[in-house]
Amino acid sequence: MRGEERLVITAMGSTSALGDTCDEAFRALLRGEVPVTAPPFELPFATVTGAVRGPLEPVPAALRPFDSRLARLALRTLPQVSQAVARARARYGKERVGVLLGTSTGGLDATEPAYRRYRTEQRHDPSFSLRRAHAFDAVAVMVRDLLELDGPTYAVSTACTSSAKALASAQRLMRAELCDAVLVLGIDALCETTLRGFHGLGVLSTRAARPFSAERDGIHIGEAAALLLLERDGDGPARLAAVGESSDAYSMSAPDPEGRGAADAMQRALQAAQLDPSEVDYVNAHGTGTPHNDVAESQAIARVLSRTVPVSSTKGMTGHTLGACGALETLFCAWAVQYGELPASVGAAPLDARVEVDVLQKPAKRAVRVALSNALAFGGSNACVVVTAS
Amino acid sequence: MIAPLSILGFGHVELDEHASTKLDLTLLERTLRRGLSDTTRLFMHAAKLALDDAALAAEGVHVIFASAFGEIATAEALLREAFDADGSSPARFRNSVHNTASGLLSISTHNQLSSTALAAGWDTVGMALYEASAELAHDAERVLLVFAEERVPLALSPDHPHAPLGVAFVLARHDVQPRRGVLANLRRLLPEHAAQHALQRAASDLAADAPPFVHPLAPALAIARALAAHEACTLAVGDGVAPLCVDVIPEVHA
Repeated sequence: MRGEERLVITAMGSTSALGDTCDEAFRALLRGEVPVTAPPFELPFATVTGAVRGPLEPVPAALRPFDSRLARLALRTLPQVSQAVARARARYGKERVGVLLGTSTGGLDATEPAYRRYRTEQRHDPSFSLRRAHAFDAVAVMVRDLLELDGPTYAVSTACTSSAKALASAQRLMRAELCDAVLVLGIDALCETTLRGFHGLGVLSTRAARPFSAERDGIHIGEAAALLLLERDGDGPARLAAVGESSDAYSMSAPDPEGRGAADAMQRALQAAQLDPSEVDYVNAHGTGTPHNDVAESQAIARVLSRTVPVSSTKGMTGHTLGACGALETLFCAWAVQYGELPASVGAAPLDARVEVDVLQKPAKRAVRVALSNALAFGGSNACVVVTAS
Repeated sequence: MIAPLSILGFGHVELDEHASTKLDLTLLERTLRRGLSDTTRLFMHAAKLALDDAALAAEGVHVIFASAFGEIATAEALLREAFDADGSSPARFRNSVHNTASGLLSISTHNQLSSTALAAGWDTVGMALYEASAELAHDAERVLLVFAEERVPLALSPDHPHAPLGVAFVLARHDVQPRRGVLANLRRLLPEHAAQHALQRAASDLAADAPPFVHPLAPALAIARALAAHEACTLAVGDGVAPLCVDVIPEVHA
């Protein structure tokens, strides 16, 4: 039956450059805010970042081995969903609630000073734990223990599709009846290694990204924590209908120029959700602002959906939050479905003439029953999340 | 509890102390074989062994790559470049992501199906079995589940001197034949259960791993060895006082 396996998003939480709650972020999105700042560390080149507001609070002493910017982002955001998670734990049992983390960098920001200390002083920093601070799954374990859960707990790390694919894994675990609820965390934090790496690839801009614009010249890196509690039933702003996944099988770091992998992911997502392409009301594109990505993705959207479906990329405002972007932009789709508010693709004017879709250059208000969020990544990894009305 | 899983093929490889073991990278296009980490090379070698054992090509399978620390030597090399030369190699950065092997294999085999990359520390084997089970229950007919772990550079930690190891399985739903064995009853292990001993034996078998050190992938190696020896057993496949455990049931065919 159509919609039978759609999961309810019963709670959401976020921290990003746009604010410390979902509500703050959504309102900043509609205002078209572009909160870029200088990187919070020294780099031998110029760029801007989408850093979260203010210094992140230190972790409590009991959690010291887990300390990283990733862990601090998680802890700042967790109170937004912790009561709902407690209700799910009471309802299903702690072993039936999973914790899946989508992250690209893990706690690499904590590894950087530990490495520098080792090289400078030739001794290890006794306070640094590779297993608890650096490892991809560390924050998932920390959250599981803090929330007293005991369901499947792991990290999905597929670069910029990490948290979109964590949503896919969560849905699979629930369909297979291995979990009754899953807390999905999409988190990535600013770190030097990532910014240096993207600079080395020549895709880092010196200003805020301008997805779909003829004047776009690259990405700016952001950071975020985006949390979604998925349950089989219950009340919530929207439902997760399906996630379509595919591989480009083309290049490690460049997207298929015709967007075939992205198109496959969208087609598989719609097929799994049993939806017709004409039913899609809004697409939150991956839209990084690199010359290669945006045209290919727009062509894929036009081919699978239509040239008239409203599309925006929110990365001009949030920055590219890497492994967190799939979950963060799924939250934006849930907001669009709940309130009919569509964010603009800030910075898109003047549009690249090769962009084949209706890029929103102003916020729009219209009924949204079905919204898609695309995430595309290194390694040709693609995922498309379908969000529908409750 | 997950449904039983058929194992259609398996294989494993350990690198010796000098990492001089010749690894089979023929799953990859020639142009993609240079400059790979031990993790990626171990992934590819183990995957080839398991696919050959199952008489299966890589084109039509869903693939799960799982590793506790992934491309940890590449991460250290990037940190070293930043420290020594204030720079970052694009090629190295491109191959630093946890899904490096996933991307390389999909490109080489023109496999456009989904592929993922997981990490769960010392629970990696058990959690990857959850993911594989869920994929098989959903839409995958065959899942290639590949584990690899390279040596952690001393500059990053003195606490994880585990030996480089790769292990792979081709998995299918319970009713698929012919098969090399079955994994059944993935469940929480009670502390008093004797199966913990099997996990410790597997760990201490690795040359670089002095007991009581436990290799993150020891359970995967123990499963492969039990299948090869046609020995049924119950194995812990996770960490902690009440880890997950699974029954390994080899099958012998004439």
